[in-house]
Amino acid sequence: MAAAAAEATIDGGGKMIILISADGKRFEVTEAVASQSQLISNMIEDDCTENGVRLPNVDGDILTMVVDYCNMHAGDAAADGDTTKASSTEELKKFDAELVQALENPVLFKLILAANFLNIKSLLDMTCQRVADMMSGKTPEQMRETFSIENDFTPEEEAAIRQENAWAFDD
Amino acid sequence: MASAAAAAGWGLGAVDGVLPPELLLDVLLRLPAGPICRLRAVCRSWLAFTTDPHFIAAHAARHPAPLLAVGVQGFPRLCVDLVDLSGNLVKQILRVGKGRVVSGSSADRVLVAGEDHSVRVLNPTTGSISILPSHRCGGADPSTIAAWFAFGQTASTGECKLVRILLNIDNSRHLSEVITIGDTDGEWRETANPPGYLGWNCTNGVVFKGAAYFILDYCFSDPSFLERGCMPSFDFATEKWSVALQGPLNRILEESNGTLSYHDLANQLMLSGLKGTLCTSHWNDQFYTVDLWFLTDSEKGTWSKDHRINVDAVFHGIGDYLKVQPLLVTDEGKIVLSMQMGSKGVVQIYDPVTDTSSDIIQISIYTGASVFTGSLLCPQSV
Repeated sequence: MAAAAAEATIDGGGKMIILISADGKRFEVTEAVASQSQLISNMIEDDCTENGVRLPNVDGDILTMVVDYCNMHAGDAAADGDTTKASSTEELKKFDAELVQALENPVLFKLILAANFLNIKSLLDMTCQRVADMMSGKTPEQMRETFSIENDFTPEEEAAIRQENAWAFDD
Repeated sequence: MASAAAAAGWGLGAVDGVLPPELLLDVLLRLPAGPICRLRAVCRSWLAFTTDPHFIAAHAARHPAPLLAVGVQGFPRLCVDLVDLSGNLVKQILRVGKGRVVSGSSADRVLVAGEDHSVRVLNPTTGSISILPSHRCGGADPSTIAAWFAFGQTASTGECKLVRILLNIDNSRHLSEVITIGDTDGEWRETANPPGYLGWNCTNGVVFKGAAYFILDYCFSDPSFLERGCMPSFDFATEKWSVALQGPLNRILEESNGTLSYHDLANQLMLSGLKGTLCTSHWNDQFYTVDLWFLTDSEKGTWSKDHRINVDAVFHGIGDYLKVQPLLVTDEGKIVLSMQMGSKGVVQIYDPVTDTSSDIIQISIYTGASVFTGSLLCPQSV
């Protein structure tokens, strides 16, 4: 049956799940890795992962990142697992820092949307923090560019807002 | 995230840009007030989003850290710097006028008192300054007058009032006045004088349950008050004085086993509002310690000693000249203290776990410092 392919097992004996991205790419991961997503964890509980999990709003390149992240972090979720395999805290920190530093728009936003959809709290937290850090030093012009927003103020209105919040502008 | 916003009864409207509102909210709540005020100039939907009262409330809940409002002598006028507990400047309010920040008050307004005891009320959120009407000093030279202030709200109507008690040092006469602070500022009205002389050290009233509490002067007050160890309070609603609350005086003397007398406590006690109750701090210049006594039952007047703080060794030897006042206790249980020697001072943060202090910022009695607990995000008028 189809379940045989979707529930292939690896040497360690962990149950495997197939994730399918919007563009049809397939990722084979263990249940422990996949359950970091609350969405998938719920599906596992409800026994509806047999034919693979279709993720119609996550692209393959984004899902690659999510799977990498989850593989790396599977250690903290299953603390009592194989210690030789679990990544050390320092390695994890380095991995997270490199992942998040390398991200730029629009990939960063796509990753946030994916983390939100899949409900992976730690990844959502990390990526939202990255956006906040990026915004904190930006001017309104730079923020419009970052978020692809049109300025819909009249010059007078914008001047008035800058005046009212003048303290935040003089650096 | 969406559920958090929904739980708060906040329907998130559409916002421009690539992130849906609940995710933009998650991002923006991580930012300090400065960048948020800057991004209000991005577009209309972001302006509406970040000026929404629900957003402001959520932001205040996420960033509860109080700020210090520190007076800084600009030229020729006073500036008020709002600094966080790491000493970082968050916002600066320029050209406040002449005077000094009224010390110790913990509120969403900053009071600035002039040399003639005139008052300006500063709203750090909007940066607006309202100048209260001037007043009479009973014909006396303002330099011979001492002043105590208290700024609070009536428990029932929420009306904001300021009380100012002047003492003419030449003739030992009080002049007490009260003013209601509203949209159209009222006039000073004469009100009842305190039931005894107020402590010189603990300059201002501490607001608790709709009344301002003061410490009496233990050198000059009527001995009957001393025996009872009461703390006079001015009720903002009735504008009357009460002597119902017992201070921790007797407990302090009892605990000292006869090593302290009433007169030893003169200028060694300070009053603050900490952890939602009154706190009397007792500076002991023999041991270089500050004991914090918290009011645990206001009906019975019971106080309990929760902390003994060892004063930073750099202050040893200053003894009697040191004035120590706790300003606030952080969520992590660290205690922020104002230490004054002569005209100079420093605000320190004390960690009871490690028994160490570190400096936050230098202050001066000529320019003052207080605590600001409001939000720096104001609803927009545009």
